[in-house]
Amino acid sequence: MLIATEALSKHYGVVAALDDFSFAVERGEILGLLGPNGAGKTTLLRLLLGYLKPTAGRARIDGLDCYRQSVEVHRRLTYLPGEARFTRRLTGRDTLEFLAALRQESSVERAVKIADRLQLDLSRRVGEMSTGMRQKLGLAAALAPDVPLLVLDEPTENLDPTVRGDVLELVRESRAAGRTVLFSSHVLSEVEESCDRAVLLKDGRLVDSVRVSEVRRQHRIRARLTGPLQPAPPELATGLKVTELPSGETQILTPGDLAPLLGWLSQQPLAELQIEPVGLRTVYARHHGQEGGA
Amino acid sequence: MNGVLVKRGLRDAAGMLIACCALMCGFVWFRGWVSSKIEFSALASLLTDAFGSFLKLLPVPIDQLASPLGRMAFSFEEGPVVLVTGLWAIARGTDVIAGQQGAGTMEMLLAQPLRRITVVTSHLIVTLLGAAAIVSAAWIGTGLGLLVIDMQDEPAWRQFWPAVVNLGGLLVCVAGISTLASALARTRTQAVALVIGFYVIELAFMILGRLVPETHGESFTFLTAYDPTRLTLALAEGGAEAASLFIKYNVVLVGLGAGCWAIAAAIFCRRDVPAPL
Repeated sequence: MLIATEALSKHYGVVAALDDFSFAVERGEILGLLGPNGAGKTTLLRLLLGYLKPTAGRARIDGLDCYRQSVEVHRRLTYLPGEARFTRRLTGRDTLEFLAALRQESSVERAVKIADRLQLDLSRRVGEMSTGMRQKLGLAAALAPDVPLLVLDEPTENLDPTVRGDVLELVRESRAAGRTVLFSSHVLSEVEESCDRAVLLKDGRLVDSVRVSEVRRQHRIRARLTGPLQPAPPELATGLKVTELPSGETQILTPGDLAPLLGWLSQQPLAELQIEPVGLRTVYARHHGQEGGA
Repeated sequence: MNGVLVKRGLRDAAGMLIACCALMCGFVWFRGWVSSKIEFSALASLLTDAFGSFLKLLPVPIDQLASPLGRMAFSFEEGPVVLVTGLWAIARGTDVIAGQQGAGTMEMLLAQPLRRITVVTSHLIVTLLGAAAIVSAAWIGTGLGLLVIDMQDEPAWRQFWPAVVNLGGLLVCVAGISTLASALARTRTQAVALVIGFYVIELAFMILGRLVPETHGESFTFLTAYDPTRLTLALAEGGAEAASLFIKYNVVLVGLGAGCWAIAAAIFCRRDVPAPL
């Protein structure tokens, strides 16, 4: 495990920003943190970075205590906050050079290459850059160092759709290069597109953890029947969740591939049939109602 | 200390530092020239007759102040010198924690493999180098002032070293207090307000102490230890008492500044780093 937390908590008086949070991230994994504002995503990231002292529990990265050994931890990660801010009078290039000089693992050439790919004008002063441009600069700075962990807090928040795509591509490339990525986002489609696993937070607590590939394989079948539903063969029945809805419809949740079920479904007394992939939206809605992002 | 941070800090502060040095040097030079043009013995008797009670506010008796050395040394207590000192020390001190945190740059800095103490120490090095440059500018200004004036019993520029050192002590002290305010405050504006509020209270104690000595107001303010005119005159005359006073005053200023800085560093190293506003 590269990241592991044990009963990690951060309280501000009676308010629990993060409560009893235990999770682990494997090396080479892209993990998405999902949850509405105030769910505790940023608090969790700030605890991992050692910016906050845990009220209880512990967080470790590569076996190192995130609070007490934060310098060693920071040698193993780069971080991009939700809104990257840099010294306003520096140019983009000066900023990348400055940040690269602060860590041995970095390279200005690599940072410039990424900035070029994100179509960022590095000759411009930070004070003259838009929020989106500053975020691109932050991404170039964060992606350049050769470190095992990348922590991104809503990295695409202020970016246009084209650059969002580039960012997600860069994240996937980072994973392909063997890095681990911890990625917080409001945008479900981004997490679904780029993450291996998603962790859902609500009111500072971990409420669900799902493998994105498994969620993608799950389907929801809604059927209006003209007669009783015949029991599924035993080899298919495992994991099927059949529910009678108040509307009179029958809902069947499939745990995996849909294909083997189709034969059995065709033998049922169907008046109407609707099949849709479950997706993260459904998982998210299970915990947060209809608050989910795009 | 981190060399990259110090170099970056010097580049970032260069504009303000050059302006502060130019102002300091220019004012002290100009002030020296002005003091050579005024007949101080006449002014002294006028002040004694008209504002007798306010003479208590002066750092030394009026006849000593009217001497060429006293006149020139008193320029280190003039408003513009204190203003430039405050500008550099407060601007730097309040920037280190609250300023960088509010601007969001602290968050990016601390994401690098840097200890928090390294960040504040590197900032302090730049502040101290700037303070050294400013006091040097004041000394150079004094020297230049002496070059352009024609005074009886003209002092040598070397005689002003006690005032220069005392000014350096004041810079260290105010920078330390400002750094502590920066560690305590949530925003830089709050930190500046804290320092100015504290300074005004200290100034009030000093005025009270000088006007009504029975109140012992001067015992409650660090400003008592900033007394460049008295120290310059006393050390020019020599004697163990003058040397002891010089050491005492500067130890108070540097000690207070260093103490405040150490507390600020301890607070910053242990506290949470909140998300920028």
